[in-house]
Amino acid sequence: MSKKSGLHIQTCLAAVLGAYCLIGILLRVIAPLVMYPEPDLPMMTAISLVAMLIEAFTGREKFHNPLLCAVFSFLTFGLFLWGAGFVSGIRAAALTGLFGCLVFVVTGLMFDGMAQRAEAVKGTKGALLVNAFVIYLASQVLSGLI
Amino acid sequence: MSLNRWMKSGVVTAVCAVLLFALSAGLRSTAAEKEILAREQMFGTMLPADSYEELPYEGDDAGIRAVYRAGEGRIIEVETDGYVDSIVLWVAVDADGTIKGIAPRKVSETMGLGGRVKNDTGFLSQFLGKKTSVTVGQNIDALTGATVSSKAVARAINAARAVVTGEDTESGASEWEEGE
Repeated sequence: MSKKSGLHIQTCLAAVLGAYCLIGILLRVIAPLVMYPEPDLPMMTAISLVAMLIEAFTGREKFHNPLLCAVFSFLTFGLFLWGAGFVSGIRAAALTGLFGCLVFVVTGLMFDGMAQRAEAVKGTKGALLVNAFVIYLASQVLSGLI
Repeated sequence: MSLNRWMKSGVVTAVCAVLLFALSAGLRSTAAEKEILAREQMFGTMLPADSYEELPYEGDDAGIRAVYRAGEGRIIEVETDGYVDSIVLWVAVDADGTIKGIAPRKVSETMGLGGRVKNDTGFLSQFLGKKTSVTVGQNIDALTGATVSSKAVARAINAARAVVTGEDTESGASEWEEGE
């Protein structure tokens, strides 16, 4: 396995989700009436995609262990959103973590395919941004259908 | 080696989670106070009154989340199903059923389409001053590409009016406690 020099996917996810949660906490004090986006399907997809894009642009690992991705994303989404007050109670946190894990893993599968193609051809990393945006729009449509 | 990176990331994640818990808990009471102040400020722009006391609602409309007394009128927090998710609005209704103000509180509709209901002033201002029921396609123009979301807002407005006027018994006529 080649040595990885960029940011780890889990670190990226923690950073992006942590920023989202931190902003939510601070807005409750500074501007309580601001309509902050809730952690629904499109938002979780967006967070996952931003984390994956950061990893892709800083040096992507060729292989992500799906089990570890699932476990860590479950814990990250559940604990962070519970800690930030977006959900209350351990049961809700577990369900949210499970949902977030599912979103992260599925988004990761789609993103990995694109990222592998982008790596094979020089100068196509910009296409990752466009494709990520399309995945986000698709998540909005899916959210409306569910 | 790879497991080490996961473990290091896991420690970072755990530390961040603890910090979030601590920060959220520490700011909870301050956030609650600020929310009440901001809400009363917003109510003051919608329907000026000396105070905004929350009243019990015992009607049948499950979409009515809260009712606040604003002088002779009411400010109602109403929830309705939009295209993607529920839409929550504050609707200020005068004693005679006139819509005096609308403030979207939660809108998760599609970005660029239904999402515009939260900040399209042209669309929202159509409801102001209305003394009768509103219907998209009759006395209200829908947002282009957002008919479902527009109808959801209209439904919410009608439900809020009905709390004050009690005219729409099917949507849930309000039942005030004695003395209200």
